[in-house]
Amino acid sequence: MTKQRDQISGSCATDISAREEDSSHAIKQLTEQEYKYGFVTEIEEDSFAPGLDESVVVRLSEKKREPQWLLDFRIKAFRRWLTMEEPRWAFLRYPTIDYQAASYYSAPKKKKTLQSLDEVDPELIETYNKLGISLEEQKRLQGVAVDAVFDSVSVATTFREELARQGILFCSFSDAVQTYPDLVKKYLGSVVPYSDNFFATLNSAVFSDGSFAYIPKGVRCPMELSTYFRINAANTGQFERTLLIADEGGYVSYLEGCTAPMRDENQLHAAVVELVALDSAHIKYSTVQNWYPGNKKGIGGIYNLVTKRGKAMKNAKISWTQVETGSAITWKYPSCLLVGDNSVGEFYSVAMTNNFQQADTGTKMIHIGKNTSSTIVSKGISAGRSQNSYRGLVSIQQKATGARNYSQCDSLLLGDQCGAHTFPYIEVRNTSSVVEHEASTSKINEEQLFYCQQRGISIENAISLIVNGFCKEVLRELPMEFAVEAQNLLGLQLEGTVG
Amino acid sequence: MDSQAHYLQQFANAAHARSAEPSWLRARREAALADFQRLGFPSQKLEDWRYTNVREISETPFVLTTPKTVGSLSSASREALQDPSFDRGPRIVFVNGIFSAELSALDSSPKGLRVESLCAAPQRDTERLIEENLGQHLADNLSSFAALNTALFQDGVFVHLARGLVLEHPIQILHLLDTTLSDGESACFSRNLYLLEPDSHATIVETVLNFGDTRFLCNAITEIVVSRGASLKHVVLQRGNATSLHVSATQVRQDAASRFESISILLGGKLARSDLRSLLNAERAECKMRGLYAACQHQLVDQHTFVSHEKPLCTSEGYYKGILADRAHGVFNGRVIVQPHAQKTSSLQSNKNLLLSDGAEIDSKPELIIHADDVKCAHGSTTGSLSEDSLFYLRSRGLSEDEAKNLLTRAFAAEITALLPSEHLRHRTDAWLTEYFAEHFLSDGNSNKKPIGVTS
Amino acid sequence: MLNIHHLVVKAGDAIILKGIDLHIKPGEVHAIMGPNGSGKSTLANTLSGRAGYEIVSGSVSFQGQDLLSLAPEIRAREGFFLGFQYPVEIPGVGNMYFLRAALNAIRKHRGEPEIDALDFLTLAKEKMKLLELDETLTKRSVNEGFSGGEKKRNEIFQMALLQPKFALLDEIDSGLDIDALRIVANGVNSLRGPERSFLLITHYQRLLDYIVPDYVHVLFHGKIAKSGGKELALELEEKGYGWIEEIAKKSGDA
Repeated sequence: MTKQRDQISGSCATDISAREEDSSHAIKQLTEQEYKYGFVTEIEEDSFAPGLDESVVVRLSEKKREPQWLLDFRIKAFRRWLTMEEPRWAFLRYPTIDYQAASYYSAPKKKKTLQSLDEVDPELIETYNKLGISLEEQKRLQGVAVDAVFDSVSVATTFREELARQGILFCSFSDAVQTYPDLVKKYLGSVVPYSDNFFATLNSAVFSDGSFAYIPKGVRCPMELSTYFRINAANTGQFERTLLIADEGGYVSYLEGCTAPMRDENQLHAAVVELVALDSAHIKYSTVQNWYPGNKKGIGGIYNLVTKRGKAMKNAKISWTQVETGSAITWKYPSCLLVGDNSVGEFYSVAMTNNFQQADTGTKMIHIGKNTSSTIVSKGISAGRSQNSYRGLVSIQQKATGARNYSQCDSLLLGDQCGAHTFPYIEVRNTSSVVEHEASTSKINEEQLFYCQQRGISIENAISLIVNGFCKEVLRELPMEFAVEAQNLLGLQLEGTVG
Repeated sequence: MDSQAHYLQQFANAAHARSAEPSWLRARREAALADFQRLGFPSQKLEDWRYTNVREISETPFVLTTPKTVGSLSSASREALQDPSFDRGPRIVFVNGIFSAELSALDSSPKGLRVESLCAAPQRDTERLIEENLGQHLADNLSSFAALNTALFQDGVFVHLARGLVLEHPIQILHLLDTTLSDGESACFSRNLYLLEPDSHATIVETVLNFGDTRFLCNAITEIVVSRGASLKHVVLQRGNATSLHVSATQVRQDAASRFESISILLGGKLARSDLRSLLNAERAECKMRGLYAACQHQLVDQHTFVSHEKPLCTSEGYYKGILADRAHGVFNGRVIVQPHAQKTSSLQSNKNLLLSDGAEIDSKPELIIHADDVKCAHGSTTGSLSEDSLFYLRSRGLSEDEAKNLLTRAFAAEITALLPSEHLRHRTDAWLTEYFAEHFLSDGNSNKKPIGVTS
Repeated sequence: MLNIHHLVVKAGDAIILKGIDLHIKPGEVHAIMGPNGSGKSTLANTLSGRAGYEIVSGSVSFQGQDLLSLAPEIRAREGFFLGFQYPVEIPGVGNMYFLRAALNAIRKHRGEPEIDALDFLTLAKEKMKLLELDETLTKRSVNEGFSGGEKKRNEIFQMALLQPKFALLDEIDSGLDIDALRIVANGVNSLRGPERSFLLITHYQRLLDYIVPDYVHVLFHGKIAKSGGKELALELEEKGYGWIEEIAKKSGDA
């Protein structure tokens, strides 16, 4: 690499075009890293035949031995969904999804009910090991409890007992329905109603599994909780449902990771995440999204169509941090309903798209309570032929007096074939609120590149450094374990421990 | 009768007025009418109309205005005509959308300048120019209002500047919309075409004034071509009232190294929607759009801007400020597109809003859509109320709260009004604003009713 | 160490350097002075490999290598250091992280082992004392929010860490008050040695009171109009550049 570049520079000395070729070559090197998680696990799965009608919803519910109220919820949602149209307002172009082509249930076959982690299929343990997620507690980093979701079901939840000693409930969604039906019944659909939007409504009808956590009053969860989602089976849609409740004064930091094998078909992922932060509670939700993005020609990849929303009551705080690098299509707007007075919402996002990826992502901050405040920091990086859009709503309602919002959306373009778009919606209805939004779009700064090079740093590393610096405000919001993964994903080196 | 059927009828009623028109124009009108029949009025499901409901327009059976004698003008309208800024340079006046030769002063036009009624022009030597340009610069998605306008326009202004002509005085265009002259709820459709040949320069000042308290719809479409090296300063001063409905759109096409500068003051109206679009069609074109929109009571002002960078090395700048009081609703949408290969584009947009009452609403949506990488684009939007610190400072210097508010609000506006090309226009606008917002600051009876001098 | 042979350089459509010859031996300190627009910065940019300059003719050898054929980072790794006139800010990139990455890139190039974070910090702190730099600097991003003087001191601090063989300092004195100038000059002087050479580009004689050069060259209209010892700088200060113009005209006539 170095040699080749030297020749380029040598042939026309310091000519401008050579330099541009140089940096574009380096950008190519950086952005063409292979997807590392594309393997398929050979495991026997128990799957529904493709197709979707009301009987599928009923069978799904039966399979999970769900109570009647939950079946009713699903049916209500399914009937509603039939009347809805797939939204097309996002800056995304993809063929109409054939909802009949996917299977709505797929789970690794298990012989009997699991008594302990030792009984989890070794193939699955191995799969998660390959992904860098150890399900064996003694090997885990201290301080992270994992719920592993494989295709449609949760296969293991670690540290469950230890957490239970403090009254923290952490288990798969299906378990929660059986074990804590009152909590689930009370909060399911309380933030994202069954009729909310096309994809959320579909999820409400056919969700398979997901994670559930409840933090009791005044408890600070001693470890990070995390869910690791893996799509494995072909032609399967994944519809998980996550419900997190932090009771008054509770605190939890929650992490979510996801990967999928490389397949030529597009796969659908339509999840719903609901967060409930009761008075003075604080939920920090971090995502590193690395679903298979499709190949360099834009074939395959996950359609990631996700509804995430949190409701913050009095003095509560909800922080969303996301690093979005995967998926062929991303349609995702983690949002905050700032219902309680003095509640706080935060959204920190890095979205990087490459090749033919398309992302339309952002947030909604709905200010309802008095003196509510929100912060939005969004960093978009587009490369290849990708399209990367920020779309965000800041709504200050009339009664939300004294509200504050600050939004900053910056886009960086690496290459002249890609697009970076910014669509902020700002709605203000009272005089005592202050809303500020700033956005900028530019290509990587040549002056900065040259400065790095003059200090001996190669152009590839210089780009990494600068992109990393560009994202720093977001990356520093991530818990340590995730920050490392995020830095690797971005092909970057995170600032070291020095300084 | 639904709105489509109603306008079909209006079209039929005006058949005799069109009988003298050339066949190409009649064909365009018919095609446009068919478009309107197909589209209907825009619904809020359309992103461009998301915050603006036009039901009041679509549900009112407006009747096209008819020519009136000048003698019947209201005293307020007459007063407006006394404005000294109309004394110099060519002046063209329309009453309820219809050209008034009597009130216009076009004799003094310098050589190479044509300022005339668009509908009078096609029969003469300019017909070819009009045929080549009329309706040819409109973007497809300018909504059904453009289609309706093409079908129904009654008259408008045709401006043509010959190559290299540099105008000393602004061209004054005055629209008097006076419902005391009309019978019931009426509508006018005006159509304007400004063509600037290479290296010419002009300032065009359009003043649009509403009088009377009957519902009145004014729909105006303006197409502007600024050729290579030419420059146009386009000033729009529009003062609506509680019964005025305005939907206007201006489409500019800019050639290489041309300059277009728009300064607009949009003051009130039951509904005032303004679309300003520029297509930067060749290298090194420059576009500056700046304006103020303000509304109180239950009024709505909606300012949309759109700049499309089609070629490299162009620059654009947008700066809009809004003042909203009572239960008024303001909408700002500023869109910038940088097309693929439009490298070295520079674009800056800023939107600032001042809310004076808790029931007022602003919906601001600056957008950047960028398909080229070597660009410097940015936008910002801020919304808030008057700074408490500034208010306190002024009060500590002896001003009453209302005086302080008045002063600060006008200072907020002054950043835009200061851009107006003459002292007289600045004063006129400032007086409008003072009058318009008078109730908000000077209503407590003990305040000094005299306007406070603002620096400009 | 550095030999420039009849270097002709174009920027845009204009020829800026019209045949520069300069020979710098190990351990020597040269200064180039000249009025605005004489080509001083073009020379610095060309030697360091910045984009936008076209070599029309001539050559530059650096320690026997063809300098102009090397990528900017290879020049740096070979020991060529440019102290920037306007150091750029790089938000989000930690100053210390950046420097360690640079130092390790250079060490790797020389076949030396990478330095670990702890050793680096010790080394950095030692050099910071030399430049009287505040320790908070280690926590900040590269040049971000630095004052003009801090930026210049940071450049010399970087030079002290990277230990180049040759340093080209482009108007390192501009924007510095007298105290900052003294600190910067001390930093430079402490790095002088028999193996290391310097080329100072400056507008003012003042710098040369603190860093005493072995040779002074006056650049005028893209050519070296006059060369001499350190006393030439004083002469310039006294007589101004008009005097050089006369000389340039004469040499042009001849």
